Amino acid sequence: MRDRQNRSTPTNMHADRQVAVPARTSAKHERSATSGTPVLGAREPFVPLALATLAAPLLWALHFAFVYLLEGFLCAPPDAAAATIPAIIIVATLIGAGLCAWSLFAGEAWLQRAGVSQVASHAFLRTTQCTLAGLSLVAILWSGAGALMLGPCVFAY
Amino acid sequence: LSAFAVWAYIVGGSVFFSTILYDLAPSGGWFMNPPLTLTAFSPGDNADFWLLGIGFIEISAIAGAIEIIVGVLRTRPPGMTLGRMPIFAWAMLVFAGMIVVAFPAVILATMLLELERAFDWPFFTAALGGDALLWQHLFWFFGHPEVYIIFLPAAGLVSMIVPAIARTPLVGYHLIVVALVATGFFSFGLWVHHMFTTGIPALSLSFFSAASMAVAIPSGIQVFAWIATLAAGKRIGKLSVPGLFVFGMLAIFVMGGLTGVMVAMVPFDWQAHDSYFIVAHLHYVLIGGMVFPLFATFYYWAPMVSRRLLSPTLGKWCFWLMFVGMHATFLPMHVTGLAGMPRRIWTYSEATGWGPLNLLSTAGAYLIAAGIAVFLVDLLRNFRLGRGGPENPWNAGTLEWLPNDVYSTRSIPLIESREPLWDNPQLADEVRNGHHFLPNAPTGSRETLVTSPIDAVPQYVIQMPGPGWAHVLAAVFTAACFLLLTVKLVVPALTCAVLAIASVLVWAWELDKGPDAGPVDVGGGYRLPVYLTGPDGHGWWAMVVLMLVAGSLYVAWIFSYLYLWTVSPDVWPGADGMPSWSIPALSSLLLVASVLPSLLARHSLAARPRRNPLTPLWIAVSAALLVAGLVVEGLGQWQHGVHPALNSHDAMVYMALVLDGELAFAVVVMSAYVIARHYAGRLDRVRCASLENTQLLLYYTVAQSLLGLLLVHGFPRLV
Repeated sequence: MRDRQNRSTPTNMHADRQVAVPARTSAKHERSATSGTPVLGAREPFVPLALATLAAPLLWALHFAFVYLLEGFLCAPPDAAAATIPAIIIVATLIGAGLCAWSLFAGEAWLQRAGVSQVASHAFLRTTQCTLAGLSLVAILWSGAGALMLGPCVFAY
Repeated sequence: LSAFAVWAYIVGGSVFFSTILYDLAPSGGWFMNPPLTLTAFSPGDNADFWLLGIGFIEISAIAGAIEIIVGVLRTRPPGMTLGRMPIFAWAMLVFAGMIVVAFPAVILATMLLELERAFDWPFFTAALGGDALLWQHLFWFFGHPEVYIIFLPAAGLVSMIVPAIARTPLVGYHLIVVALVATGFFSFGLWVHHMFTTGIPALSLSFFSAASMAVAIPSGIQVFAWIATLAAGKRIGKLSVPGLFVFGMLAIFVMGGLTGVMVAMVPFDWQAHDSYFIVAHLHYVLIGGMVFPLFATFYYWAPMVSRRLLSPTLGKWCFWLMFVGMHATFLPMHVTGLAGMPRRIWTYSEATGWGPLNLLSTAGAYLIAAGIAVFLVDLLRNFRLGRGGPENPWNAGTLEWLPNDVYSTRSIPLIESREPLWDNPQLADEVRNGHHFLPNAPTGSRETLVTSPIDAVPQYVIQMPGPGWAHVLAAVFTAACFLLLTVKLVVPALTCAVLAIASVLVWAWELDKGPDAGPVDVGGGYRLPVYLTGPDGHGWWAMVVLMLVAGSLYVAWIFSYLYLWTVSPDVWPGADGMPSWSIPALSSLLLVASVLPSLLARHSLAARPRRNPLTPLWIAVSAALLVAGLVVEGLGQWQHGVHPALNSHDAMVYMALVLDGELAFAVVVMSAYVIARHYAGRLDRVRCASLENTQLLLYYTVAQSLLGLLLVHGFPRLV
């Protein structure tokens, strides 16, 4: 994808050309809260936007850690509670997959709440969020599928 | 910081690999599994060279990773939004993020094994509640992401080369970005596929089997994007040498990926594990995924530093010798592996019938060597450092091909697309003539722009350090400290440690140049400050990444603590066997109390040129309270009879104190440094980056220590 912009003459770029930055952050100096020096673009909410964009793979990681630790804890030593492992995994998988699927629809609202209106890369972040959600959904379902076929705490080797 | 990382890697790596020359090379396999690597079976210093050498090299990698993350997110040229970033930058960002999460696990593992070897803390000894499998979990939690840490930068390089040889923009840019990020995440869910035969429950194995298959999807996305780009390209004609290596890479890496999905199936892996089938697989993915892209990189980017291009004729000979040799060597190993040939054997019976295929592998290896010899000849004949070569011989569209010199580019361009040199053919001249940002070094020193992380809006000018020796000495003394500890020369090692810390402090002293030189005109109508503290500052960002590293290390410790409890719950004390609650209560009080004087120190900072005499006092009190909190916990445990060599529980309790203590030591050193800056007149209400960074580390250390107290004193009472 190529972005087309008007170009000034090279000899005068320095003097007469406005840098193409989003209006909401252009040329408006804000005082840094800590140093008092003027700061441009200081209000990009990077951490909230990163978390909102990466929500789906983070969900995958949480689901993965949960199912693995669950099996690890309840199988050492195995007791009556271990019989519930497959059911818990299936429920956790449905919740994880559901949240990933939901992010395809609600993810835009998450980005808005995270402050995406303050940056120009809105479309890029949203597309990234959706595609990661699709991949993570597949990965969560695939990980949890084992619970449909295998019993808990079975040492098969 | 990058230079420190490079020197540390060169010195540490050279000494480590030189051990092969005097029979001190580690002899436990590259993965160093206990119990083979415990003192009983590996009594010499060989294993210690691995543990301390590799552990130190990883510190160098983490330093580099911090630099890369902050650099990619905060020092892009203006206008280079995340969506316009070159794919190589994305690959390096994900690569650095993976290092931050993965490397601490193996650092913890090396610490645990070294403590067991040196002081008999029984983390891996089953008789005392330890478990050798803990090592495997920690090692492979690092070890599998490691292979993607190797592959992703190479994939990023291929994504830069392919559009140039196809003369068309990369197809599926967005999908490749997503694939890189997804690979970074999913690769952390695969590690147990190296442990399928260790007796882990089948359901657990299924999670890792599923993830091992799922990770093939993002890798496949990248491969198909490269193929689509080549297909969409202008008529390629005769392939250049980089193009040959890219095509070779595609063929070899895809074959390796296919066998990877095969061994992701648990029943198949039970047959193939520890056989030559695995050797075949790993070489196909590593040679295809890293070596061939590396050679493509040599031939593609050599003109950036060499006056002359490398020879196309010799390059083609190099490629074909390596390509044929590679298949001749490793293709037969699929067959010998399935025929039953195990790994790591030094001989075998003729009756096995493996001989002819292994002979073919040997011949192939000589072909590979011949190919590399041709490359070395090419380098000797044609590689000449210096200027005067072709500026952009491949007519590529990305910024590394801008005219540059020892000061990098003459001015920092405004970016409006992903292939700026294609979309603005005059850009090179504009940059050379200083028509973009920072053409005139307004501070009179090395400098660059710091920009916002998402949209790359210019924020301030960072005054870069100049040439010096402090960081080199810091790297040398750090390497020396670790390597002297390896051979048990403790006093010289501690001396080198002190010298390393001193070198770092000397290096850091000149980094905080203060705001006096600014604000400055950087062009484009911007007038920017030259100094910034707080959450928008690059120092703050670097500290946050460092805290993520420390957090990852601590999570690895938490996993190890809980894992050993599942293995040996009998060595864990019950509620009756725990120390009194007064110990963690007092320790927590002291830790939390250390925060208040730190806040008071910040508030007490005066505007220059005044200095508030209370500032150093508050800093010192804060550090003292932090240390006191940990001392109370340590002494309390000791007096209760918790001794680290007794059993794995006690060893884990003291390991928590080791991890907290390391950070507390760093806080003490940084506090002393800040106090020195106060008395030197280099600390005030505006110029306070050093105090801020120290505060960040203090708060993190307090939080980590409190979490440790909660786990160590709370968990045994609950179970």
